Amino acid sequence: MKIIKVSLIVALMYLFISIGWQSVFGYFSVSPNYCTISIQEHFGYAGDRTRVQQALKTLRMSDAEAYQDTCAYVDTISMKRCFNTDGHVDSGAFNKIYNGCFIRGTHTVYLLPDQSVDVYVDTLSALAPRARVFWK
Amino acid sequence: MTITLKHILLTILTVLVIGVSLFSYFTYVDTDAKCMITLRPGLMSLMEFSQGNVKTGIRALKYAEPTVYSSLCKNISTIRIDMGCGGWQGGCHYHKQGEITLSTTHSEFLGWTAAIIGHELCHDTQLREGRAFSEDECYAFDSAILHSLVDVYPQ
Repeated sequence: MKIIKVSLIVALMYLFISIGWQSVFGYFSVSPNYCTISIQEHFGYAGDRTRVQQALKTLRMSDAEAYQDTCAYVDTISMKRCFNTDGHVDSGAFNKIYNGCFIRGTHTVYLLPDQSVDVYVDTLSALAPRARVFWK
Repeated sequence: MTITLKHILLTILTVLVIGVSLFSYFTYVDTDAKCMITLRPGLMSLMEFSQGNVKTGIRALKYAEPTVYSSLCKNISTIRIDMGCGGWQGGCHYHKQGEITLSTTHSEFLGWTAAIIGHELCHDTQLREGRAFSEDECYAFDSAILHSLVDVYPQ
């Protein structure tokens, strides 16, 4: 009986710590649907996490379908530049700046660091359906 | 001191949890595809205690580039992971068939991780087929993987 009580307490503590951690360092919401996304900031770009959290809240109000797709098919938003060719093959590969990208075969979306909330909303609403199309 | 059944069960459980954790840290396993690759960590990945980036990169190949994944599972038995090989986020093939080396950490760009796995797999194929190492062929191969995996916006 004691071991069940201890297990229950440990499980509850784990749950509360996870939710707390995700709320502060990621995105967590239960309404209108359960949504938990890890947000990884790029070194030297403090403030992006808050902007992405705001962008997800805005997306929830402005584009419900894209928000649902994001919650269902994306588990990590990472702040990093995207490129889709090797610089040895395409000399202009690193000159192209994209606002973001979805990595097929994963649940990860990358966003260009140091952008406005509006840019993040626009990028997430464009990439979320692509994640859905890939995984459906 | 008496050893009770409770103690024995707790010991077995602890050994099982530690054993499974260690096994899953040092290997990539996909039972559906009958795929098992040993992941040997170097200093960096030991310090981070995470090989998640490489495992997610392999899984990206599984779902988005099944032919490359199938070849990887068939031909590569060991991936060594450490910094200082082929530059940051680079890779190496030391002419040892079935073994590739990656330089990556847990927070690197996943598209690139998957592409570098493909690049080193390409060198392994060259070795297996008795062909000379050609970087041009393997750059083209990893670039094709990047193009296939990374869905950019705006296009």
